[in-house]
Amino acid sequence: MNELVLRRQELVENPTARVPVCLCLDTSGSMAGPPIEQLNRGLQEFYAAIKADDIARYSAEIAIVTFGGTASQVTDFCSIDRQAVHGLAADGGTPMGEAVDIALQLLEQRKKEYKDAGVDYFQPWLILMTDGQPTSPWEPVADRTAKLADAKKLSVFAIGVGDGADLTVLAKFSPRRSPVRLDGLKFGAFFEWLSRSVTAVSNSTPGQEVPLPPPTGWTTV
Amino acid sequence: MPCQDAASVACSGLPVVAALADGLGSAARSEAGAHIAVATAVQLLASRFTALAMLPPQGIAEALVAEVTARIDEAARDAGEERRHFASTLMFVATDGVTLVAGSLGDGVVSRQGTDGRSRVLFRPKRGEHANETFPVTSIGAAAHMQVTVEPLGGALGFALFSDGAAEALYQRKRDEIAPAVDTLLGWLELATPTEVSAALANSLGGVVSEKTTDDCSIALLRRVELASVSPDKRELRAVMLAANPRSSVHLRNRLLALEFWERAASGVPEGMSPSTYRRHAAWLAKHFVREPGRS
Repeated sequence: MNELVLRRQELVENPTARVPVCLCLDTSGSMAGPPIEQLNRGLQEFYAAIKADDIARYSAEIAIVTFGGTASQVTDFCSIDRQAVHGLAADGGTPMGEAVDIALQLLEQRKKEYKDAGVDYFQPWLILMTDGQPTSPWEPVADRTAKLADAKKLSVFAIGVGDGADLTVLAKFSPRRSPVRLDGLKFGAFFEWLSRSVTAVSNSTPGQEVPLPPPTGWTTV
Repeated sequence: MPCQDAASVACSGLPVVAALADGLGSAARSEAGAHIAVATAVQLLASRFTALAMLPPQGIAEALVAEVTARIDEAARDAGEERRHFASTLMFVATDGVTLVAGSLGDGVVSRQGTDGRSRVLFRPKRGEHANETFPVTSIGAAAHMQVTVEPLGGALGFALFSDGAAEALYQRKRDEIAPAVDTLLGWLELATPTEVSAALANSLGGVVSEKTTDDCSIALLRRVELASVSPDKRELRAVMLAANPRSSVHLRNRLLALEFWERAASGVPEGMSPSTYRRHAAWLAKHFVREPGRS
């Protein structure tokens, strides 16, 4: 029956559910040289991989907070198409606590914006990377982060870079997922895994448990 | 992965019942769980409508969840699986023409079409904070999360139940509005038989609706249709409606015999039918039908 045809104009549009990801990256002086160069390259590849996926490019929203001397927000959450990431420079101490505090504030603010705009969102992700130890108080914010992770309000991925990274400190931020140590300077492999993981979540449907790709090729055994 | 949604209706008599369930992608046997959920809900609401309609909404939720999970537990035992592997949502609408009993558990949407012909939200999605968190019928405290209403049917013309996949195209979350497409779909039930509408729905869900989502898309429709509004050339639809709610096979046979006689405006009564029986059927037909031009 020809009259029983639905037209696209009779349907509604809803925004794609978002996956907010905050990268909290150590840019202290000890990251100078090959580590920061590899980190910058890995970041570029990460953005390129997300942009290459039809769904993830509209779903993933990335913010970057760095801690090198001071903790600062480098990029805010927005569509990845409108973001430009310039090279990060290494300098100063390791104020990890302040940086994670900024990251948590950004994530909370973004969730509020989603709610106000009627946008669905997946569990936010916090990626914490460091090659050293915090040089300022970090315990209170680690407690807050751990509580969010325990309540499944936040997925925390803590990665140590090099032998100087203190995984016991990172473990305080990530009680549900043990911290791992990056194999050498394989930032590229890590960000490739991260883009595949974000893409997997972006492409999932409600009620679906999303198995992440195994973290192989970038962690030490 | 097969479609994990399931739908079921009971419309051969009153009450009329429709149910739809969306199996959770994370649960291994959710397709089976969705089928059990809709079959159980339809059976329970059809067989115990009057008793259920006298319960408070929470009592209805508890009765439905208890019955569905009992059936799921049986299936789980047979399959050597756990209850949670059969996780699915559940929506239902049941009416005896006077009272409406409807409910929703999970992230589906139920809409009601008012006398102005516009559908509005009856139940909006209920889920956790995050997009992939919902409340399946197998979850602890499921009945407490089920939204239920018992109220007079009033002038409601129709209902639509749709899974979250279909909701991406049929429900605008921020404005809390139902898409015009839902009224179009309900209108189809005045133009064609349920079989034809089902085929057309399958085309639409597999076409323009599924373009909006990667999830399964399912929809169930209930529409009050007045015989008088069905044009004479829709003979198959008229036949379906004539056959609706037959009290007996004799009643149905007499109804069809009376139609043939009445449409010709013939004098007397059909062979084998008493004058009083024909008068009753003729009065019903006159109330619900427009006599086809040229037949009298």
